[in-house]
Amino acid sequence: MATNQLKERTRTLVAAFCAGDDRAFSQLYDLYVNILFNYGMKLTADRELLKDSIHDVFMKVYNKRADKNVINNLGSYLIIALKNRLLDDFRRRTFGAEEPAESYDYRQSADDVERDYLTQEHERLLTEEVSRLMNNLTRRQRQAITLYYLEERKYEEICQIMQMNYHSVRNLMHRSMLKLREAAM
Amino acid sequence: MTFYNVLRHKRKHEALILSKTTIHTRVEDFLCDDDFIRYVMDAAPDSHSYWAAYLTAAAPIRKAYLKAYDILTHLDDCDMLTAEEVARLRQRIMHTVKISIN
Repeated sequence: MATNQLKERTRTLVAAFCAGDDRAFSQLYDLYVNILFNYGMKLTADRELLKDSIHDVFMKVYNKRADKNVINNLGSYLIIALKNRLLDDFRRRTFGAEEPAESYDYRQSADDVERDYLTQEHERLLTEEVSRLMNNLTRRQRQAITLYYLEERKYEEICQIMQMNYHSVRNLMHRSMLKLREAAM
Repeated sequence: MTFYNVLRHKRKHEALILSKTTIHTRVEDFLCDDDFIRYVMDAAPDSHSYWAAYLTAAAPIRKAYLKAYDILTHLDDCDMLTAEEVARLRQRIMHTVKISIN
């Protein structure tokens, strides 16, 4: 199916699904299951893991049918959700952690004073180093990095906030990261 | 607000990828870039000129870009589930959401 046809069909089915038609949900599954599978197979060779992940992603969509951000961009939402699900699993297998790396709580127990101190000291040194690195950036570069990584803004939003076009923002991010790399060497 | 916090942030893995290279050179680089995915799947117009510029990149980069594009639009040599797997997975999903399709 051509990309435009896919988008058109998605729009129609999404509208029906949001209106409560569960058959449309099943048809959305038909439309995307092999796109997701084909995509996923480029990131993992584990067929069963991939099927489990696709299951979870569709569950998420079903439960988020009221969320306009999900529903209006269903194609990209499905792919990004699958990618994140596979990356989470990869992290769990690699680092042996049960929870996603993002939600890991770095705090130590209150009675472990020595480890607490060492952690704080380690963080303090890293913070100093990072402040030093960030000082190498111009104000605009710092702003772009902050908006993207701390505030989780999409590039489109950063374009609006910084009054720049998309290409310039990507270039600004690129130059900022290069500068940080140089400074870190 | 420090760069250390940035690295610990949710987008940690992206930061690490970015710190190696922001100009994507491999198929995987494109496939793991949320913004690229949105561009292909949602046809986000704002980012069109940025991504379309890859069409004028050196041959290996252009090839990686086109391959990633084809994977997302399902035009490359596809890995597909068998009809039976598709049906089973559908049943499993429907069972979980507790809906029945006639």
